[in-house]
Amino acid sequence: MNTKEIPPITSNIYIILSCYNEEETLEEVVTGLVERGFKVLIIDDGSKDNSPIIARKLVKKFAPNVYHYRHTINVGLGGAIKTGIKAALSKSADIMITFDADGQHNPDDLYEMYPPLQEGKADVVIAARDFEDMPTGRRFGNTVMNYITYVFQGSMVKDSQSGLRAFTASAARKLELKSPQYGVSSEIIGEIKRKRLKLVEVPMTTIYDQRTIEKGTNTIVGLKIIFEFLNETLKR
Amino acid sequence: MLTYQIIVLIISILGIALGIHRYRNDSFSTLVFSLWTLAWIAIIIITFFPNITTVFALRFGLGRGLDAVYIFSILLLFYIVFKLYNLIEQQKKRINELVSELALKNHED
Repeated sequence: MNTKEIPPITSNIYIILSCYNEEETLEEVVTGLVERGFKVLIIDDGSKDNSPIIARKLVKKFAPNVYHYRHTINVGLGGAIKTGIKAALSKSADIMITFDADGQHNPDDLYEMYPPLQEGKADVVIAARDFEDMPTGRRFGNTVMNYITYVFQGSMVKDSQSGLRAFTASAARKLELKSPQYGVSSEIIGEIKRKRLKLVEVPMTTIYDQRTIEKGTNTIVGLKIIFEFLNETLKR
Repeated sequence: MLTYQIIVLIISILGIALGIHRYRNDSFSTLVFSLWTLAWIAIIIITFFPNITTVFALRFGLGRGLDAVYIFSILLLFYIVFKLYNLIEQQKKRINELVSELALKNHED
């Protein structure tokens, strides 16, 4: 996308960057986001590598556009997103976008995400990966997760496990998220339906390398998500 | 007195002693301490008067007395495991909330 096509940022946008042991990619990802004019909330979920040191350095380097919140112990993706939403709301954000710190997301995809929210055309925007581009195992896993999300949350979307989601502040306030871990992605899909929020799905490009493939939703994570849903369903 | 009765009696007395110790330490609530003590007393009674179980078994239609003890024990254990699981989940939730609150309070900007 060239400079002419970049939609203007007319609202207070914060990126919720969940980070767990991402010393290799954190600096590059944050720099990419700040250069594009976004404010970044680094939510370090109890990293044991050098991520907190790098995060502190980035806070100083890009002040006042980067903030660092650290979980003293690892909670999980859901916990990081919840902390991120609270942090963004405390900064009077108009729009907040969840983003992964492992380098698998392309920051240029953000240009598709905030315009529908700024224009009031949507409450939530989710960027869906193109399943055709995925490695076979990953494609199968994500398709299964879409159906599991449909069964437990009652909503079929193109990519239920996408980490790239944008919310308006009022939509974020309405979300009641219980899952502390990976189940949060499907839970968000369910909450969008339960709270009658307007969802727009946009396409995204994903950068796959060995590292991001190892870190994503694998079979064990998938089984854990199913177990979490069963547990939550039984408790209702 | 038969050997197994002596062994069960010693274990039960140790169990009750442990319960008293925990209760004094505040590790056991009054409810848990009472249930714990009652369970050990029941074990002692059943060991010395095994025929009691037959009365229960006949009332519930379970045949032999020992079968009734096994079935009730398994059910009780299931219940305890379920309770423990829920307690751990609740604690996990509370810890997660605490971690989040601390992060929000002590952030760097």
